Amino acid sequence: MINDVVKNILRFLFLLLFQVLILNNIQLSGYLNPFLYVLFILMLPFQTPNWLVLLLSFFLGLSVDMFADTGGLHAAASVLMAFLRQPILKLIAPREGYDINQQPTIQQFGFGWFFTYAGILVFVHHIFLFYVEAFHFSEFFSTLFRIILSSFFTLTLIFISQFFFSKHKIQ
Amino acid sequence: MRNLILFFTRNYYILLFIVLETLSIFLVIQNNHFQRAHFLNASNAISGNMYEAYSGVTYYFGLKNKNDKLARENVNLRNQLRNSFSPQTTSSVFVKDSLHKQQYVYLSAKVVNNSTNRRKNYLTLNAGKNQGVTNESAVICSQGIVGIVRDVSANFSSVMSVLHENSRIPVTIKKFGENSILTWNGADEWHAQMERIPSHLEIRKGDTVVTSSYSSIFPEGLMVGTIDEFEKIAGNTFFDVTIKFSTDFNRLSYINVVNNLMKEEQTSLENKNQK
Repeated sequence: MINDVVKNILRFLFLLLFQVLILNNIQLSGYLNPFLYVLFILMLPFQTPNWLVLLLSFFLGLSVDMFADTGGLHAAASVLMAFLRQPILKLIAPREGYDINQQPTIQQFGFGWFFTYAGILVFVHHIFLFYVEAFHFSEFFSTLFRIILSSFFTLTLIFISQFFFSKHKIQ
Repeated sequence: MRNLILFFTRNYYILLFIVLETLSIFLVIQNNHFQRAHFLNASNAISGNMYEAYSGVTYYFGLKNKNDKLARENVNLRNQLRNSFSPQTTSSVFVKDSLHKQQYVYLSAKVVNNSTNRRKNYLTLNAGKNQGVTNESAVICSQGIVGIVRDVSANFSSVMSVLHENSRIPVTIKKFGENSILTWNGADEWHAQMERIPSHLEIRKGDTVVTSSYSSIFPEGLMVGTIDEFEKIAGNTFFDVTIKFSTDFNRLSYINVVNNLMKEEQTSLENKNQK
């Protein structure tokens, strides 16, 4: 339990620094902005209380905002994503439910499950983030194009990180 | 009362979500205002110091480029030196110095954080109030204009880049002296748009665009860019002009902050007239 807390704090700090120091500097023709920091919200253990998920996401988003000078943009998107995490976990739960010892990782639930889980949440996060940033509908399709490319890039990074830190064999 | 408490405990999740979301949206809206929330500003102490440490490392990667640029600038400046001109006449002209009063003061600073891929781009400089930077100063580099200072802390300042959807800079086409406003539509960091260029002007691709004398922030005649494309809008007497920046916003490092010593006098006079 204590081990889990420490692990999540370290993950929070690592993803935050990785996001603001490295990923925020990646600029490929203004279209590709990967936001890997959302991996922290995805990887929180199942037994984390709901209110804690919301609060942690809020502070994570706010920290990213502080460095990127974007007000509360990332905080808003992260809180929305954290809010939807619970219903989506319920929706795609395996028949026997979640075990208290399990982690929401690709190693324990397989590729299909993880892809649905991460895919929906990342896409929601990016849609909210990019449309609130653009804030008018005149660029609806160019923004949509950015959302799709960036979500794809973020998901690729999330999957790479999953394989990178895997301890067990994939089921 | 009991029902009220029951309601809160039962729906705390949705209520907490609404509270946090409202707070975030409030911050987003606050950020659009001219006076942005100070504690969330990139010029605040924690992120400013960290960005400076970070740029201390990445600074070395671009050293070759920067040396080239400095060498070129040195050559340019040397070309303007008095002793690189030979006197052509024997009569000498005396200039009384009391006729000239200094209007602009230049300061040097380094960019410690920069973005170009958002719709509202900001830079952070490693100079602030202690170094003499004031709010609403112009920021330029050896290639052209960069932005306007929007927020100053003790040792850092936050600059609104020209690459900002609210950026409006008075410019002029050097050849014709036609005044216009430069805006940025957010498409990419190399091009910007000019408003209301009358279609009777014979502009050509490559014409130079400089800052105009209508700006109380930028000195007159600074290089902005060159005309890249222009198109006549059907049924209109104006051109749709796109210019190419002379500044490479992805490679900003050493920049100059320009304080206009007479700005207050000018703006206070102008504001008086508007009343």
